[in-house]
Amino acid sequence: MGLIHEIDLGTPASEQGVSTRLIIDGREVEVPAGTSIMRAAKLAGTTIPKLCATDMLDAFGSCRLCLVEIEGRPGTPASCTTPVSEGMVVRTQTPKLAKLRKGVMELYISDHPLDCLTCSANGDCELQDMAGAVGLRDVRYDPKGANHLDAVADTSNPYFTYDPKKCIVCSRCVRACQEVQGTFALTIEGRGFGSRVSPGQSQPFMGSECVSCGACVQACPTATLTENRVIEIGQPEHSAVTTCAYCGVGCTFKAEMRGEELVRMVPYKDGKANRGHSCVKGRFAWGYAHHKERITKPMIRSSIDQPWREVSWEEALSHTAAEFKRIQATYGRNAVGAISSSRCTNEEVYLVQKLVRAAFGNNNIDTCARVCHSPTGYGLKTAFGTSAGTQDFDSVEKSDVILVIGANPTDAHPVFGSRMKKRLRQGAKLIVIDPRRTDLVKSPHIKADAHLPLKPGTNVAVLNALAHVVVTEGLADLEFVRERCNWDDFQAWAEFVAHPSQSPEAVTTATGVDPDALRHAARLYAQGPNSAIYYGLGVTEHSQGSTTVMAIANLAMATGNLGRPGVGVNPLRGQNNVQGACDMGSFPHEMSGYRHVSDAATRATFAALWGVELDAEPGLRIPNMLDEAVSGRFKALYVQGEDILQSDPNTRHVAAGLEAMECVVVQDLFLNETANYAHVFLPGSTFLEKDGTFTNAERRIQRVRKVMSPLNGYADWEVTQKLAQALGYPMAYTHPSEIMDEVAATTPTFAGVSYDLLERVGSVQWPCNAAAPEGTPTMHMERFVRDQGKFMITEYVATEERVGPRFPLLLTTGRILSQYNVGAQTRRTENVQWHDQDLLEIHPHDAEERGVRDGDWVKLISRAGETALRAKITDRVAPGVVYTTFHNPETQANVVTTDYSDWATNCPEYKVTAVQVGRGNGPAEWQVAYSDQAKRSRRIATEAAE
Amino acid sequence: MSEATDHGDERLIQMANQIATFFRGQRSARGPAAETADHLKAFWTPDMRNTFRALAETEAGARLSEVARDAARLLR
Repeated sequence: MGLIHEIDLGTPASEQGVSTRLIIDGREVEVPAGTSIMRAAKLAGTTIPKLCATDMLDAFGSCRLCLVEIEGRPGTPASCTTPVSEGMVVRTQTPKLAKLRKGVMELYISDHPLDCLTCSANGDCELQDMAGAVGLRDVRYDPKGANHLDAVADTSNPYFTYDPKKCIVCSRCVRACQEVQGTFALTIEGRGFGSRVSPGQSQPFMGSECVSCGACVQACPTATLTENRVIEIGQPEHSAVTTCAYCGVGCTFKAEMRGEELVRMVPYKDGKANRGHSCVKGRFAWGYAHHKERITKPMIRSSIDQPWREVSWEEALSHTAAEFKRIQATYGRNAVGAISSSRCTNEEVYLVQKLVRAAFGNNNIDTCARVCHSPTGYGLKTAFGTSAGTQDFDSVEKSDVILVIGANPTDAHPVFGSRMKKRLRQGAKLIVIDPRRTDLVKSPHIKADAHLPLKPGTNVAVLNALAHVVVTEGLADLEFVRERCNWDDFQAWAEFVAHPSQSPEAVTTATGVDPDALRHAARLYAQGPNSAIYYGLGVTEHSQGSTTVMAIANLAMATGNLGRPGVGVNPLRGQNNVQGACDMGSFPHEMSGYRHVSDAATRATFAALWGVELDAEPGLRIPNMLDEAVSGRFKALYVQGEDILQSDPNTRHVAAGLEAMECVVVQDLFLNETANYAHVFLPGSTFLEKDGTFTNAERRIQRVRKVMSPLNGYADWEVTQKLAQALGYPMAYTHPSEIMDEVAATTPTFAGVSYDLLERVGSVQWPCNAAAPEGTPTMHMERFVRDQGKFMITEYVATEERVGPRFPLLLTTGRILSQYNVGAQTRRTENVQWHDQDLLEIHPHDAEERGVRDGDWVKLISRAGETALRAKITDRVAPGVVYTTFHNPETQANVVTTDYSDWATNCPEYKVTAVQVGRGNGPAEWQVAYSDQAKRSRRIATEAAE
Repeated sequence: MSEATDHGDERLIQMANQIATFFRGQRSARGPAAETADHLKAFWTPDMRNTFRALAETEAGARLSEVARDAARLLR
């Protein structure tokens, strides 16, 4: 076990298919046309010295170290910027080149501290390596000459330090910020000898537009930009490839370790989702794993007003099992249920749903997808026959037009957002449909070709109007529709959307969207030729969430934008394993692989393996569980890795439901908000502490690898297994790979998945089976899973949540880059330096009408409840719309959201709440009371555990 | 509000009406009530369906759309 060293080929791969042969140092080399000499040499095993080149960035040609000689050509061209040509003869090592390179290195070192032995990059420094490579033995220049050795380090960023005295001005950091991340926060200021890297305009990193993605740190060949952990504790000695536990992009990282201590997370170039990039969360925000508030011992209490009592695992599990048995004996088999975690592994999720179906004997299992992408499942399954997104992330590189609706990828899916922005900078057109002016609408080198700032709740009307333009202007791809879709359904749909009542002009009053802008957007999308739709929770979290997903599918089918790279319908999934949680059978109506519980053959498969009869009726969804609890019929809940009190809508109703239960079991890293109402706390384990797999938003199954022992003693799957055993249901897995083997044996779309396969190929996208042994990057290539694509009529129905004199503004909610979901992890890291509280974005006109100034406390009141937070005045939101995030329990944005939900799936309507905003003078009464209650609820008795 | 209904019952009525509204607009040889009933069978627990069916027979049934009421009858 050692450090995983990735080979740097110096320049990116060429996409030209034609093969070119040349001679490098006497050896024949064959590479694609357009490949640089540097890359060709490295592929042939010859390393050309370099400093400013790296294969993550376009060739730059500034360091003059990679010079080569080419027969028949004058001079010594840079090998990074010179492409190969047929028959070329290259020499990489000659006396002339050696002299030139040594001279270059001498100049670099003449203005560089000679403190290698005490430098944080000692052993991991390309400058040091190159000094060795060129044989530098002395420096002729006077060290007392002009230099930068007194430059002061910038330590403003909590995760890395910028030390300009070690900078060689190779521009790799600047180019990484531009080309990879797309933020353009860094520049080279000054000229000649005075040139220096500068965030913003001579600002400290934290004061600039830097988003702390880490691309610059990764690109730096010296100790100029270094992770603070490396500075503090030194270089790592071994590493393992694993998958990030934050958003649904599923970035691959190398966890670089010293023993069991994590030194840093470095994005892995072979990661097929992130292609070597990262964001501030995955790269840096993992300190929560050892936060002082982490709970590592099981605890129980008889009632929620009592302090917790630490107990042994045996006592906690036997107590839980006894309580669940008592409750089922008293109130019936269906009085208990569970919620699986989209933050846990596939194997852990699979075990929780198995526990429910096999040991509880019912189907009362649900997952956080209920409150995010359940409409995606319903809508896409109806249209295409399966609920997953249709593409891989690489697909965006082939898109000509990108339509983003109800998603903010630069904040919520930042690494994919960067990949999307790269494609946009190459010339792809962009349509944004969003009530807010997100960063994608306008940011450096990005400008949407159309922004449709619709009124919250009118997605369906806008999509129907786009379809109206497509159909009435003859822009539909009738050949695709005839070949791939049900023609009769298409005709009925075309007639529906072509009606004048669906036109952009007819719906403008309801939607607030300029008809001309909408027509422009429709023409852009329809004429692609490769047009892709990316969407997020701004689509699904509405009373018409499922209808909106179907309207998106209709639009893609009608224009033939499915079944090839560059197009498709792409739900951007929120949590790291929410796709997997759904795949693994976490819904109360579906077993793994999205097979309905009423299907006798599916039940028979599991019944034979599990040795129990299975319920053929759907179970309760999360909102139904809470309703039933309030009604006194649902009494016990096992919640693994979810915080429904903070994340689910109408907090008071959630609290009432939890309070009405007799046994709430929370399994988590921390005493989260839901745990305030729990009777049993089972400590959880982090993604660093266990083996398993996550499945990202592109259906990609990737390994999670254990790099340290769990602080609580057990991985989460082991805890669930022990709970099953305590309930008298046998489970005896010895490794998560055995659980995946069971998934593969029972689930046709996973039939080919195994840990062996993942070791061999890195990752696979399901379906992965005999027909697709290495997975399926693009779905529906030949035909739809359901055979013919199905057009559904998507009538716009206004939400019942309406503005009026009492509640004249519409609140919509979302996320911010530095925080993740309920913030349980990110709030326990230095990411709070970017966002330490939820703010209410309000338009200047609305603020002025209410006498609200920037930073004022404001009351936010809806029909469901009231909270208070500080105002941020911005024209990012339209007049009449206010916006906030839900990362902080002190704010509890969901106190004001209602329990209106999607008609098909009960996904809550987070995105539309009628509210009033007024000046406040501090936290609301309930916030003070809640804070007191939470503090009381988290008391832990001081007696020693048995 | 009917004396017989609580918060959960009101939610069932509201949800059934939402579902019926969607299927009212669809092409279906079987008709919107049958499609609505199928949806309820696929996604609602037997207890929820039984409660809904009973509600449809009470005063609360007046707050159901015609399609939703017909769907309740088909659940028998």
